Amino acid sequence: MEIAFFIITALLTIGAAVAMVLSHNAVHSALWLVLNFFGVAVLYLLLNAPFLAMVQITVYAGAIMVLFLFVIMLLGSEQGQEEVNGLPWQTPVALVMGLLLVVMAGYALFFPGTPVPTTQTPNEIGAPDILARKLFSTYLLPFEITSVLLLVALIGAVVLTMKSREGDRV
Amino acid sequence: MRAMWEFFFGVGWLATLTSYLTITTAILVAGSLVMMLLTWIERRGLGYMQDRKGPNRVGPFGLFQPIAEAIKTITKEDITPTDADRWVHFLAPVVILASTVAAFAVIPWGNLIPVDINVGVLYIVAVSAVHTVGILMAGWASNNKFALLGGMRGVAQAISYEIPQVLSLVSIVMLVGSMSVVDVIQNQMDPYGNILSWHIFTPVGLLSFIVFWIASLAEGERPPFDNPEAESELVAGYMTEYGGMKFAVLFLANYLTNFAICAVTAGVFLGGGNGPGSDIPILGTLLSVFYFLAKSLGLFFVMVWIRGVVPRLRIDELMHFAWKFLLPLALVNIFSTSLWIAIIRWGAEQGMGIAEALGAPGSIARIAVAWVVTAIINVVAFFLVARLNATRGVTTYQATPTAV
Repeated sequence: MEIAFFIITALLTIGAAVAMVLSHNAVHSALWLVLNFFGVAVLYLLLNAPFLAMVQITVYAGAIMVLFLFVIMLLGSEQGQEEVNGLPWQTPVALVMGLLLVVMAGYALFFPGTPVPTTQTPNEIGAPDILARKLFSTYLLPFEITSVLLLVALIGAVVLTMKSREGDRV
Repeated sequence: MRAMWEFFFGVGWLATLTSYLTITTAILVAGSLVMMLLTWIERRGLGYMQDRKGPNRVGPFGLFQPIAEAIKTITKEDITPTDADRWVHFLAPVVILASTVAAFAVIPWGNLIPVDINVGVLYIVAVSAVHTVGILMAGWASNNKFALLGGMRGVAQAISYEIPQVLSLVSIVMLVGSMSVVDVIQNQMDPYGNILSWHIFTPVGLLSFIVFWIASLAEGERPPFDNPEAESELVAGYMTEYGGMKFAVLFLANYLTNFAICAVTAGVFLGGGNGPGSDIPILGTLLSVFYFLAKSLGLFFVMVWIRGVVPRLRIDELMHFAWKFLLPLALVNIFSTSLWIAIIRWGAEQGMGIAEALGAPGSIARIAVAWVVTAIINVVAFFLVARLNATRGVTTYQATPTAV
């Protein structure tokens, strides 16, 4: 039952990702990406991580993709012009990297190492309180660095608007 | 339900599927019925507030008016504009209604709870965030300037007001120590049936309630925050190009959102189905559903009341209100919530040795001190933020008019 559910969700997720890359309309691409995020959220649910799944939907499908859509619609740039590839070296590099990823995934799949023993049962790992405790003890440094990064981006946005405002007055 | 099915048929997954299908059907039927009642309350209520009668011809007191309207919309022609994006135009009402109905999965009807998940509060936030995707889809796919403007406004507003809304819920989650909706309601239960144990009757909960309620009105696009469909400016906003059944679906989603807001507010701040006698085995369940509906519909009446009294905000005023008034208040409230918890529950172990002088955790003296401290902080913060907005807000409006 769970396997069948996983296969359906995985196919849906991959299909949405492929459709996102292939569609010519930027709005359609963004909508496919929303569907993709939903698929990933369901995969998190299957891994007993409801908190992560809900955050995935709230932040990615709900906020970030809405901002993407907002900007696309505001600029009216749904139909991207057919222009020449500005980065010709990108295609071979992307191919090599993609191949590397497939090899790595295959290696991890066919030669699994010894799984890391955990003290919690799978049901507990994704629980919000345990996640929070880990985040604020073991992974405090990465957490703080991430928040500083976000803060810098926020200040950057504020600075950008401040400059244009002063320019208006002069 | 599930145990009964397994007893008779012994098929596990089929039992799960059937029980959830039953619950879903019940939610959908009850939701539609409640929506009909809500439209009736709204139109009659507004009618009396504006010194007219409102719909009173179909059935007793006009109660069957929504049924007549439903038949009318079903029989209308389904139109898609020629230049619209067919699929997105078709899917937008589906996404909006689905995200709205999904929220009802964790909303408890008194003691009747569809699903209890340990991230229930976050789940409600998550599915209502998807709502905004649907609004953008509707606005863009209609290929109409009014619809697009309405969609843009809807999204700008929904994203802005989502932040104070979620932050005000954070205080409640901190108080309860769990994100399960059932735990939130349990936390307001008092063995003596004392309504003072509701969250709204603490200084922290009251400020949280004010912020949450106002932000939710904006999320549900209720007047005075109905800029996305401002009739006098944008025809009907993102719903302009929808007719017949699709418009009915959007309308249904709108009222279901409003009801979900009322239900969540009743559950989180007003004790859900708690009331005298709600813990009696079978009769109590019926009583709790009654209390829950009474609280929710009472809150909906407050919504109608606000609609009848307050004029619509200008779009930049609306944004300022979210970012400069509600957001600081929600942040201050999180601070005073942590003080509340520290003073009432913590001891020497957590570094609150001073509080031990007031007695054991949870004692009357501690609660009294926490009450006074948080009440002072919240009231001062409220007037300070209001004052800062009153003195500085006006000048910035004229200097930089924002266009959305």
